[in-house]
Amino acid sequence: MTTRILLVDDHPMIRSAVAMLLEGSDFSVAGSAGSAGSAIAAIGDIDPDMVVLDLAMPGGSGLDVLRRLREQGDRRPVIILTAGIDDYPLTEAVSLGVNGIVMKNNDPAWLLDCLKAVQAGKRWFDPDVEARSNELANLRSPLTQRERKLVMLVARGLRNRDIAAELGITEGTVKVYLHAIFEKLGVANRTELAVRAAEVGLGPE
Amino acid sequence: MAAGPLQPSGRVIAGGRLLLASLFLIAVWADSSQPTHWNAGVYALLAAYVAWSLAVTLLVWNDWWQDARLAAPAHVIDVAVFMTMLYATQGYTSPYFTFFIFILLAAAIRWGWRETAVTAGAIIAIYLAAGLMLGPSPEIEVQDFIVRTGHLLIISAILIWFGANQWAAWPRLGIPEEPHGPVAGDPFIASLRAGMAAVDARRGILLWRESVGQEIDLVRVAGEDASRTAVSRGRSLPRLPGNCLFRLDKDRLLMRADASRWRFLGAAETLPAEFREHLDRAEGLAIPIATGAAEGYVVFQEVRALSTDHLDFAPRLARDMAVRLQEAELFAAVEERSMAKARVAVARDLHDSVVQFLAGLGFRLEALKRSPAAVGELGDNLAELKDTVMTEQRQLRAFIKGLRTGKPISLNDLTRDCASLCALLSRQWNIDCACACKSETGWVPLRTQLDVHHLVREAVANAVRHGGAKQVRVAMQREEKHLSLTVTDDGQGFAAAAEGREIAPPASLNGRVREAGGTLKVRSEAGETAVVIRLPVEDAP
Repeated sequence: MTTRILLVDDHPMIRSAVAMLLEGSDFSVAGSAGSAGSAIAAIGDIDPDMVVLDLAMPGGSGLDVLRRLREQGDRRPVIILTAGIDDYPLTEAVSLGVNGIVMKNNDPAWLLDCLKAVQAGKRWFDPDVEARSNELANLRSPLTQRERKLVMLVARGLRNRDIAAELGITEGTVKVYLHAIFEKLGVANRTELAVRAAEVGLGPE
Repeated sequence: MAAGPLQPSGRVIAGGRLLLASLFLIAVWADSSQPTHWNAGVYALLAAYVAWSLAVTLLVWNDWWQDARLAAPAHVIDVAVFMTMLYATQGYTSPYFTFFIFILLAAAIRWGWRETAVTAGAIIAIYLAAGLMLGPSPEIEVQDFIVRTGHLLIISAILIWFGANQWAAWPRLGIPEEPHGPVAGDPFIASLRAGMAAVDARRGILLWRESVGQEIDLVRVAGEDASRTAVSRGRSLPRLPGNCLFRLDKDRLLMRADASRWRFLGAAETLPAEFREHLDRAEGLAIPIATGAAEGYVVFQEVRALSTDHLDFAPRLARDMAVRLQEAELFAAVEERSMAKARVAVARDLHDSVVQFLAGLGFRLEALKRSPAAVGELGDNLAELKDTVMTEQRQLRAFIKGLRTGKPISLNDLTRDCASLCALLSRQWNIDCACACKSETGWVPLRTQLDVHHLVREAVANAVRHGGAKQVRVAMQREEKHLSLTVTDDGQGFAAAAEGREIAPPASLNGRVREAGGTLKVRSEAGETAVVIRLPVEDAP
């Protein structure tokens, strides 16, 4: 009996290539989706055994899908298949209990290794990602709810004074929060934070 | 741009005192009717006063510290000499009136209306008290006494008004308004230059940091040379106690305690070590500057006629520069944001097109490799093709990462990329190609990373195509302001070298090196040819 997989990636080239790779293996592509929104609906419709998720997609990131699943108490295995993952999404994915992370720029055979390991109930991360994840575990904690809100306000272009008014805190407290966020996300200033907020799933609401 | 006055107020007061004292002595000596009292004593006193005035002038002419130190004692001595001369001289040759104006004007210039009023009140009170105690006598003529008292009161009122109306040493001085909008060149350097022009300084330093940022910008201007660099992360911004004049070699620091008092401090104990390490000269004027979103300080050095007047002007200059810097920050942020957006857009396009294509190609090649038909040579070729695709993809990912963050790349990462590239080139050209880096730490900007990739590819291609090389070695080394890149091969080398002629650098390499502002040299001997390239590298964190 094959393991049924939902493949979520906005690039048709990747979807067809992965499907081709899985032909003849213990895994089959039960369905595919090209966006975060359609992925949630497809999971309900298809009820796959595993979900293989891209991170950067239109209309929401793969991390949004993972977050939504876990919030609903859905613990089915999720594997992230991505061309690149920053520190913050990596930290959050780990905290949400992602089961596997495969990099598209490493050996494609590792996707099969990952699927087999996850099928056996183990966690499998790309070696580079595993090493970085271990480093980050000792360095950073994920953003708090308030910090996430503050990042979204910065991405909207609000000044510290306006952010303080919006959150009901002082300007000084906003500065303290920003320092902590810069440190956690590894950005140097608010311009970089604003530009990169959308990439890590924290764009303006 | 307005510059400072021709002479600082300390020099004007000291010089005025010396001229008045000398003139007073000559006037009394030339007029046989003077002095009317204490003949020998008056000459001795005036001679001593001239000597004192000369000494003060020499001491304060180029020394703001002595100017501040001697201001109060000199003022008291002026008043004492004036009172004595007022009593000792009579008639139209008595220069009491000019002297009185000088004393009050000096107080107004140095301190303000309160000190001018106190000085005027003290002089008039002593004069009245002396007149009342002595009563009508040959020494005190009633009519003369009333006229002089009237003169003193009128002039006092005028000069107190003068002091109260915030007389400033340099009414013209200030950074002029400029049309709002982006300025040519670096806006921070332009702001510093504007401040330097206002105080007539030849050197300036500006340390500046966003209040929630981690990077400190260090702007330096010395004559025509100007630079703006980032101070290493983790360094703190030195704190200044306020606007101050300093002289490190004499351990002097002068600040205003309030409008009428100085604070004489030691520079070593007051100025942080981090502040001192950025200075080019021992003496200067330091002014903290803050806006709502950023803070820092500016230091002016090699200032023409540096004086205590600069401290009076400092608050206004700080306000003007803060406005300029705020505008500069705003425009820099807009520019940085648009550049960052452009970088991110290019990175996203590359990611969505080329990277995904290569990734898909990799999966397909893996699928083909696993198919039953892929055996023998076909299987090997598919495996090699897959490795090549993966290597190209990794190179591209590294470039995209640099584009997205705009951050420099560490030498470790660059060496790893270069080694990966050399492995790819080894397969591509069927040669032995390897890369090594002699430096263990350091950073290079994205631009240099790209240049290295292209130069290595091109140099290896040249070595194989034109020299028939079988072995190529790439060596990198980070120097203080350069990255040295040497590509050595075992090919037949350049014919020009064998014939003793000068070797023309390969055009394909030379064009890119020139664009990057670097240099390229070629050494060619029997069995060994080396292309030595030096690329400029900006300071990186």
